[in-house]
Amino acid sequence: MTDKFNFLYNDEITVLKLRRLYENHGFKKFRMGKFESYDFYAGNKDFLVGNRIITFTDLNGKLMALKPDVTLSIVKNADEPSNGRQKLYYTENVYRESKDVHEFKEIFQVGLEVLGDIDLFETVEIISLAIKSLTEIDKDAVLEISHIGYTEGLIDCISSDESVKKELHRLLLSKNPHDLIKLAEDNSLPKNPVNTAVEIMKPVTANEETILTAEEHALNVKMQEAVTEIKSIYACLKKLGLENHVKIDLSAAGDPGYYNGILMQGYVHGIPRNILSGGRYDMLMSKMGKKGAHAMGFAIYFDALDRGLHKKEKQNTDAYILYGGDSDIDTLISLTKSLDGQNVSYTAVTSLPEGLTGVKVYIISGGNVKEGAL
Amino acid sequence: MISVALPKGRLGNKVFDIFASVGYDCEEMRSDSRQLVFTSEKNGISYFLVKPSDVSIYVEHGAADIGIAGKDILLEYEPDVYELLDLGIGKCKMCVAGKNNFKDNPEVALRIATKFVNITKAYYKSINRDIEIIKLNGSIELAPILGLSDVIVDIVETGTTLKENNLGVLTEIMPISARLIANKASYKFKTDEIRRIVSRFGEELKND
Repeated sequence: MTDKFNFLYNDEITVLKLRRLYENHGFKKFRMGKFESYDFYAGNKDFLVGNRIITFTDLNGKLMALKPDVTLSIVKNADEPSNGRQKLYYTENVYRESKDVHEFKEIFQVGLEVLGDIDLFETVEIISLAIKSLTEIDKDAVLEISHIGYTEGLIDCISSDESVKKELHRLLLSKNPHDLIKLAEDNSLPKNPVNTAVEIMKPVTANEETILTAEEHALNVKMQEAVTEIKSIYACLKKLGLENHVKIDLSAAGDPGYYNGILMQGYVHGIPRNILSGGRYDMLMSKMGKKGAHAMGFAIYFDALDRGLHKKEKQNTDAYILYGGDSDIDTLISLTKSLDGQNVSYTAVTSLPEGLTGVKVYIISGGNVKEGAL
Repeated sequence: MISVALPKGRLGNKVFDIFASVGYDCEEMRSDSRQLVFTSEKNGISYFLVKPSDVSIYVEHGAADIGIAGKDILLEYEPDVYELLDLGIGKCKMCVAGKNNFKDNPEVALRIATKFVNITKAYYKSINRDIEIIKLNGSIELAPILGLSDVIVDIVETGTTLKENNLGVLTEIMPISARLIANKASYKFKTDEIRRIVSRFGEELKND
């Protein structure tokens, strides 16, 4: 970024860099309205993070909602992808409940969605864009990749009881082998797939090792297909030189709900939770009447990044102009005009603030300008 | 450097002894200082002691990479953390307790005093019992004695306090023990260090 824009905050610069990255990959900006009919979300609650939505009554008496999500709106409003694919990105605010403080929160999100035909190339493109987006924020960022197909296939082998399945998802997500073994004992669950679940939860540093373990423990077609997909994706990411930013973890796919294939979560240093989340969500497309169409995307949540990124390189005003009742207005105006031309930031004051250092000071007395520095 | 949130008190001391015995000793912890954070550069570890119910908050928010928390706290607050190991120490039970002669009247909602609102709700939902919860922050045993509630849901270690007050365990809801938890982001960036601690801890506990 040139010096001309050094007043921008780092988060603003990051958003611009991300926009350039997405535009360079052929994504078009999607602009959404702030409100949506409440019925739309009420009918799609399964796809939302959290259940609470801010609602209000419109002037014609219709119940409206402040948007809690962008993906739903994109899928709803995007053109029917008759052939090929639609590539869209957005920078928008959404309104959700915050688990921490039990209040509504405005969250700034940047993300992208691809709707239509998604093949291996497109999947790799989306994942690589997720990684590149994260590395714009932290050069050592990590993207965790998992696959819903693998965990679902595994859980299908263990139990058909919905409450046990739900508990299994929860235990896998919290990497909790001890309670999983206890659950298996209490419910006489089959040993072999339970062992697989325990195996895939173990911490592994090398992705190749993770893929090998997953391959060895694949117990049905669903699991095999998932490993094959992960394997081909990883091979492509390696060719792109992005493998050091990837952590494959096949126990990390939680309750499917929204997603049905690849699942991604991005982490950067200094932020205790994932700032990027995304994956494949074909089921939402079918639900919205776009049968047979695929969809994949991700979003970056800037609320978590606020403290880390909301600062700027240039902190101070360059110059202060001190003027008073006796100052000549024409001199003051011509000085500001000349500073504007030099791209100098200034503040005109009638008394200098305390504790100023490293700034130029122009004192206007009558028609004279005295220049100094503090 | 790995930062560890330990629960203040007996459990914390016991867990620190295990850390020390598996290569994560910290001289500063043994000194009688008023320090709040204890660091051993040599062993790449720093410890701080917090209220047991706050451990999971420090870990979830990344102020500590790992921590030791009771299963009761993890079930009650459901923090978004990894639960990597059951230490099998600090064992006790989450129980429904009441007066020894208590008879449940299923025609009315059961009044329950507890610190553990979510655990209580989940348990009674699982057995379809209508309840009314009275949230207390301490001295839970007083509630049934004074008629504030019919029963209580609380942690029972030895049962002595209950016995001395003519109370007794009516139902055991679940066993509780201390767990080693990790922050999700720390786990991604410090996988090797955390894995080493978990495996050394696991070995040490097995030997015990």
